[in-house]
Amino acid sequence: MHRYAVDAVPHLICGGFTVEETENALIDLNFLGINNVLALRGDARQFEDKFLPEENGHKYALDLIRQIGGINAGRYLDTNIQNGERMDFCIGIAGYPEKHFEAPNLASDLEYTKRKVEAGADYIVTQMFYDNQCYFDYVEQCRAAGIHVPIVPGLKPLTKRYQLNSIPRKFFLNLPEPFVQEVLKAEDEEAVKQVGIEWCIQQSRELKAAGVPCLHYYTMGDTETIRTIAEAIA
Amino acid sequence: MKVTEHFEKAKGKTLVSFEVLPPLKGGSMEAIFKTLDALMEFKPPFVYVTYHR
Repeated sequence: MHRYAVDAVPHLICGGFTVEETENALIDLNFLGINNVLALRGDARQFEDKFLPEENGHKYALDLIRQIGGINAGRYLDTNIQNGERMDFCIGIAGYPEKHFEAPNLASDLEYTKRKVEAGADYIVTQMFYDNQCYFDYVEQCRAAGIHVPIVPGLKPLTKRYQLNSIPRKFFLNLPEPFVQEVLKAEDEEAVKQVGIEWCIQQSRELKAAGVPCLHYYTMGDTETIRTIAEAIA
Repeated sequence: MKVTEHFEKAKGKTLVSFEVLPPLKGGSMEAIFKTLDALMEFKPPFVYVTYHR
């Protein structure tokens, strides 16, 4: 943050934290001058088949958001603290245009998203998607459900052929058929990467033209690919 | 500055942000600095940092 003069937005997750540890983390972040967090439940650990909360930790992102919203209002865990120092965290949350994999349906997913906004969430960053229509429909459905915060599209370029299967498996989303066909037609891995980059550039351009507040890229350590895309849309 | 303040300040212009991975436990900061060095020219007003358990 200081080295680059850019604001840092740490992910704050439920997993592995008791509510006391979460409170301490918020106090530390505030002390460090960081007033942005992305509040998430966090994934299950690799050796566990479902998310397991810490004993006395939050089970859902909604509860974490309520705690951050509380500290923004000067409410601490110790109820003896009266008129506590109010913090001023800007709270980002995750949104799932193709629904969170554990939500029974999109309406239920949106209901929880709405509760998160009511609890103090300031904006949404979406899970990645490869069909912009999914994003546009999601924004429309959020608005119809009374969710009016900014919704930032999250993008991750596909760069390897095996991701045709691993991305749907890991992230529970669909790849549009024309994109799949282009990837399958690519002669080698280098050509697959070019197809993936080009697709991401086209997605970015269309989203930018639609006036989205921000284009958010999941870099996953592949800086060169992200640079190519960022250069193309600059 | 807050992310939402960056949105307001941009007045409708689309911003760019990146999510970067912190070093694994015991790892050095070198990789994240290298990543950020390569991405700063695109002027992200804020950068997301994931969390390893």
